[in-house]
Amino acid sequence: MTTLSIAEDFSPFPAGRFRTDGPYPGEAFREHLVKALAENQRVTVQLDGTAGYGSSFLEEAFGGLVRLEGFTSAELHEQLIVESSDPSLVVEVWSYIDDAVAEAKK
Amino acid sequence: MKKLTDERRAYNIRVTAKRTARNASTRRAQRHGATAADTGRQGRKRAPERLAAPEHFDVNTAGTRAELTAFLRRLRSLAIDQDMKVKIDFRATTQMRVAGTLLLAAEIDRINALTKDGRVTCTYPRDAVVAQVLEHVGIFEMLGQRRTTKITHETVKYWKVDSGDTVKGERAHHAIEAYKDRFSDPKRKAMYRALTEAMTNCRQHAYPKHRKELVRNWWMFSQFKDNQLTVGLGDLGIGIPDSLREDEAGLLGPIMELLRALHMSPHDGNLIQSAMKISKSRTKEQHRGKGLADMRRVLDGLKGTLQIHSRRGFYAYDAATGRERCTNFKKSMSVAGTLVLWVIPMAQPEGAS
Repeated sequence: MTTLSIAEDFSPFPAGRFRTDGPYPGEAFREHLVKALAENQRVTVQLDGTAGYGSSFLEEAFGGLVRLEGFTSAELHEQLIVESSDPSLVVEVWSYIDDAVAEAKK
Repeated sequence: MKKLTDERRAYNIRVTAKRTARNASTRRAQRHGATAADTGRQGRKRAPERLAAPEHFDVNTAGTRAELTAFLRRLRSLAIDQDMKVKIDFRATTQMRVAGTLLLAAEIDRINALTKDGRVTCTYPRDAVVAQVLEHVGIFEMLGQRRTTKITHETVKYWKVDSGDTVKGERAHHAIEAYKDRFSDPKRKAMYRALTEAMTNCRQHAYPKHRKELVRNWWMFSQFKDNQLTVGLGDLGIGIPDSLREDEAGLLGPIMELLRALHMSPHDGNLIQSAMKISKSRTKEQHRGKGLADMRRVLDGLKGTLQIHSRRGFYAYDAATGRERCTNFKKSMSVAGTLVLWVIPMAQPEGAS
């Protein structure tokens, strides 16, 4: 079990989708997350402490786990915990994962 | 063959001598850093073209928008297309709003980056507040204006300016952090989302690779005045309507469906409005295309207003009333690129009466 704090382990200013967008995009964070998921049975991602999040960052970081890294819904529900003092952010993150799962089934 | 007369021979010698002297003068001037814009055909330094700046640097009314876009178009034409030196005459300018000032700064910044010879200069404005704005946001520095201006006016002190070509969350954070005593934490996070999504949109869609643009920047201005924060983020790219038509985010299909269903024509204003409504595309790129809708949805929590000026299109949304409007302007009033403006009412600082 491990905890990944985006603010402390990645950047307090996450923004953008792809590596070509800027220094701390969703694609780059997803690489940290995939490594943590490979090395741990459970990973908690802590969203607090950053300046905020855009949809591009969150969708690429979390929706990309399904779309590009091949994780299934069952695997992520088993392994991934998303924490935030703002419950709407947690709902948003899981909606991107669920949307990616639905899209993959088409 | 005709024989050359003595008169004709003397004339030819004089013309050749003058041409030789002119070419030598041009070469001497160019060795000292002169450009084609300076020397012209005569090989002498050419006086700059004077260009009167509009009274209002604003896009909020049809009149001010028409004047500003005409001025910027002329500036671009003189400095880039016609390769000329230009002196902007600010003496009649009395008002600098965020949108207009941002568009001016972007245009001058781009001209300077492309030409690198400081060909655009300016006269000093008569209006003291205008002078302070131009000083504070760095436009005087861009124009090589040597006279320095002390910043004393209350509203000018709160102008913040930034530009870049990548998505830098830290920059968005700093633009908002200056007002943190008036901005609750959820509101700051919402504004951070809106700004970083606008930067991401610029980075991904404003300057498509096939256009070979040398300057791919966004410019960001913010101003606090009368308990209201105005934040603008703009670029000089292809504009939202054309980027939708190029369909990189896969939104064009759903947008055209929506416009057909509503019996609306696909002009620039309607395209922007439809793109705001559609947060999910119905193509294989469903995970993209959320940025525009994000900018508006974020505003609901802020109870502010959003304006988008892009090419001929204009879109406005008032979160307090839920009212939207869009306009398609004449081609002569087209804004180069895209400008997103948020106007947000802000609370009194803690402890204020």
